[in-house]
Parts: sequence; C-alpha cells; structure tokens
Amino acid sequence: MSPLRTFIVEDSTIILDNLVATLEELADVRVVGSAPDEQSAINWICNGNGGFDLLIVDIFLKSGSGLGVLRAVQDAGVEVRRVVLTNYATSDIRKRCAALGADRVFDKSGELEDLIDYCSHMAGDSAQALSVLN
Amino acid sequence: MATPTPRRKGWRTPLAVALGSLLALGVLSVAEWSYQKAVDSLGSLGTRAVARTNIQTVMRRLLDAESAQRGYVLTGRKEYLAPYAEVASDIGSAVDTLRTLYQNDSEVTPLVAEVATRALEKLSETSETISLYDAGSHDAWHNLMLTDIGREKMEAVRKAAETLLSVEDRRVAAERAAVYRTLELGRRGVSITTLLSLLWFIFFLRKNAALLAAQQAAARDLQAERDALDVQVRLRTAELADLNRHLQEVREHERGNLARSLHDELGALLTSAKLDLTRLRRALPTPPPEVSERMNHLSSTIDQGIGLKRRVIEELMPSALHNLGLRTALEILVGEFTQRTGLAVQMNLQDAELDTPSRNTVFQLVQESLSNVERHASAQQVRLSLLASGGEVQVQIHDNGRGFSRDSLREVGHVWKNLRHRIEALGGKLSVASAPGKGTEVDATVPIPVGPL
Repeated sequence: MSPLRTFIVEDSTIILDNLVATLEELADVRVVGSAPDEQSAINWICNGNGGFDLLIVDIFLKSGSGLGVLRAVQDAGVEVRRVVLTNYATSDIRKRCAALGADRVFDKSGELEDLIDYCSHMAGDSAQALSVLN
Repeated sequence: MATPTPRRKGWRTPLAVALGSLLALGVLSVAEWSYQKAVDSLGSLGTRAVARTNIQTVMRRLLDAESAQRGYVLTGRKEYLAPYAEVASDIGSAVDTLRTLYQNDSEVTPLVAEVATRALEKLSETSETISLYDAGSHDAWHNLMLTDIGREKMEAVRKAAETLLSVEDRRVAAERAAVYRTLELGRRGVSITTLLSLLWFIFFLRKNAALLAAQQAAARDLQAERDALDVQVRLRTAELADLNRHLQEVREHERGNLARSLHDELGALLTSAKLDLTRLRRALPTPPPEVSERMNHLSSTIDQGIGLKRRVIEELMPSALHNLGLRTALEILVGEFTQRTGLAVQMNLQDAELDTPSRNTVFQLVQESLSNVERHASAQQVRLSLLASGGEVQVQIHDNGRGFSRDSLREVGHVWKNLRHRIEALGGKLSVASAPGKGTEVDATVPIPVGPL
C-alpha cells in the first residue's frame, strides 16, 4: 500500500506536528508539504511540486483564508482531493466550501476520527487503484 | 470671575418722577395764578368803568338840572323843567351805586360822600331858585343867581367829582400795571419752568442712555461668557469623543489579542489533546471497560473545553469578520439570521477596504439592526446593502416592519449611543428613520480611510 501523499495548509505548528504524526501513524498518509498561509499554499500547489493526492486545508490561516486556496485550486483545475479541517465548521462554511470544490469538511474537534477514516479509505482506494494497474 | 452686578439706586426713579411732577405742577400753578390775577384785574377794571360812568352821570344830571333851571327862569316855560323831575332820583341812584361800589373802600368813601353832599347842595340851590321863581319872588332869585353860589356849588361838585375820577384813574392805571406785571411774571414763570422741564428731560434722557449702555455692556459680557463656555463645552465634547474612540480601540485590540491567544495557543493545545486521544484509542483497540469509559470521558471533557473556547472566541472577536473580511462576515451573519427567523434578506454587498475600527463598527451596526428586526419588527421584508463609492462606504438596513415612534427612542440603550458616537468619531453619519407602521430605515456612511490600513 502506498501512502496517501498529502499537503496540509495549517498555520498552527502545534496542530500541524500533531496532525502529521497522527495521520502518518493511523492512516497511512505521507505528508509531502505544508504551508501556513494562502499565498504560499497556492504557490506550492500551482507550481506543480510533485503530485499529491490529498489537500487538507484549514479555513483560518496566517494570512488569506482556506477558501481562497480552494478557489485557486478549483480555478486551476488541479486534480486532487480536497478536504477542509476547521474549527469553524458552521453550515454556512460547509456550503461555501462545497461550492468551492471541497469534497468534505471536518470539524477539528468533533470529526477527527472521521478524517482519519477518510484518509485510510483514500489510501486504501489508491492502493487498490495501484494494485489494479499493477 | 463674575462681574459685580451694578447696584440699582432705588431712590432714583421715584425722585425723577417727583421732580417731573413738581415741574409740571409748577407750570400749571404759574399759568393758573396769572390767569386768575388777570381775570381779577379785568373784573376790577370793569368796576372802575361802572364807577366812572356813575360819577359822570352825577355831573351830567347836575348840568341838566342847571340848564333846565336856567331855561325855565329865562323863558318861564314849564317844558324846560321836564328833565328836572328825574334828576334827583337819577343822581340819588348813581350815588347809591357809587356808595355800594365803594362801601369797603376807606379812601374813596369820604370822596363819594363829598360828591354826594356837593351835588345835594347844588341841587338844593337849583331847586331853591326854581321855587323862588315859582313863588314870583323875582328879585330874590335874581339875587340868588347873581351871588356866585350856583357857580361855586357847581365848581365844588366838579372838583369833588374830578378828585374821585382822578383816584379812579390812578386805580385803573394801577390795575393795568398790575395786569402787565402779572402777565410778565406769568410769562417768566412759564419760561423758567419750561426751561427747567427741558433741563430735567435732558438729564433724564442722558440717564436713560447711560442705563441702556450699561445694559448692553452687561448683555455683551454675558454673551462673551456664553461664548467662552461654548468653546469649553465643544473642547470637552471633542475630548470625550476622542477618549471614547481610544477606549473602543483599546478594548477591541485587547479582545483581538485574547481571541488570538485562545485560538492559536489554547485551540492548538486542545486539538492536540484530541489527536493524542485518537491515537490512544487506535493503539488500544480493545480496552478494558473502565479504560474505555475514562477515554470517552476524557474526550467529552476536551470537547467541552473546545466548545467553551469557541464560544469565548466568538464573543471576543467574531472570527469570520477578522479572517474573512466584512462582506463574507455579513453574508454569514445574514445566513444565520435567515436560519433563525425564516426571513429572506435582500442583499447587495460590495467589497470594501476598511480599517479594523471601521469594519468592526459597520459589522456591529448591521448586527444590532438585524437583532432589532428579529426582536421587535415583525417584518416581512428586509434589505441590506453595503456600497462603496466616492471614498465612503454606505450601509443600509431597511425593513418594512412595525417601526417605532421617536418617543420610544428615549429608551435607546448604550449600544446605539455608542454606535452613533463611533460612527461620528470615524467621520461618518448615522440616521435612523422610523414611524409607527412604516418600517425602519437605518442608514450610515463611513469614510474609507486613505493610506495604509
């Protein structure tokens, strides 16, 4: 099973470190990069820094917002799964994220398990896809 | 600092009034006095004329008697005696009149007596001659006539009469002089009193002018004080507005810092804790029930902590506003409003580059307006617009609800007063128009600050 290549956009280093450790431990994820703000995230993504499979975006960033990242990715037409992990998962935000192309929205406190399950699932899928190709 | 009020001399006005009345009275008295005296004098002059007439009557009648007598004795005709009959009674009544006129006059009464006596003597002489003639004693009456008695007697009467007349003349002259004097005095009196009145009037006018000038000076002083106070008030008000703005900024700054701390640090810690718990759970797939229970309890505790943190952060600083901008924050606010009330809100929102205090103020204005609509208005339609043009941002919240009357605005709480202050301190304007049954319109403009935000 090849790990799910993931890029995380999150401004808090404490959360980032913890999240990376948890995902890599529990969900067969390989974090290929991270960015703390909208502009550097967009730069990384759109400069084709390797391929990656999953984008995890926080809404509130050091500058700009996760919505801006989603919009840029949608406009650029990058083929990648996008999920939002945020403290501010109101129904309005969920609607907006969905409109901007997010596949899922996870609440940072209540839906962490769901995120891990989702990542495992994705990793499994991609592994299955790879094994089919092989 | 207060100027001493000029002491009003209380006796001035009554004195002035008294003087004025006195002068008026003076003029009247002088005029009246001279009138009376002149009238008296003219009355006396009338009397003088009467006296003169009577004296002359006496003389005339005596002459009549004499010529009657002469005619008769010359011609013997009785017709000549015709006038003689009434002479005595005429003279008698004339003398009586004179006596009456001069009854209180000690100087003239003897003169009148003299005239009367002499007249009587002359008359008796005349009638003596006539009776002698009638008796036929022609020699007797000749002799009588030849003696100068007749002429002497006549002379005597004439002299007495002339004395009396000269006294009369003297008196008349005196009366006339008196009249002139009276008139002269009257004239002088009136001139003097008129002059005095004029002088007093001028004095009064000057006093009046002085009083007026003093009043105007006092009014100017008062106005100057008022102006100075006005300036003070304006300064203080400006200071207070400034202070209010400063406090507001400090408050928001503090709150921002607190919210950030909570979010960044506390939030991160709690999320880490949850992540750790998740890993723990995965590491122990089949935990003993107590451990499982403990972990669930731990999870719920952390969740409560996170919930509390979120509520506190939202209270301190609406995160959407801070992170996503005014327009997005307003859209979210309206979305929540619609969800709670079921009212769709017509929105027309543009992007606006406002600095933090302006943004917060506008957001709070919309928040409060929508809150009012929710609580009081029972409206069917709500419109919200945020337009940026011409260097300023225009916010409008209109509803077609119940409206309110101006009077109930007296109960306006601090929130609205504060909003108005803040908007005005930013250089903007706020107007709230409403009438019962006509809905409410909240309009505000806030200038877009130039330069770096």
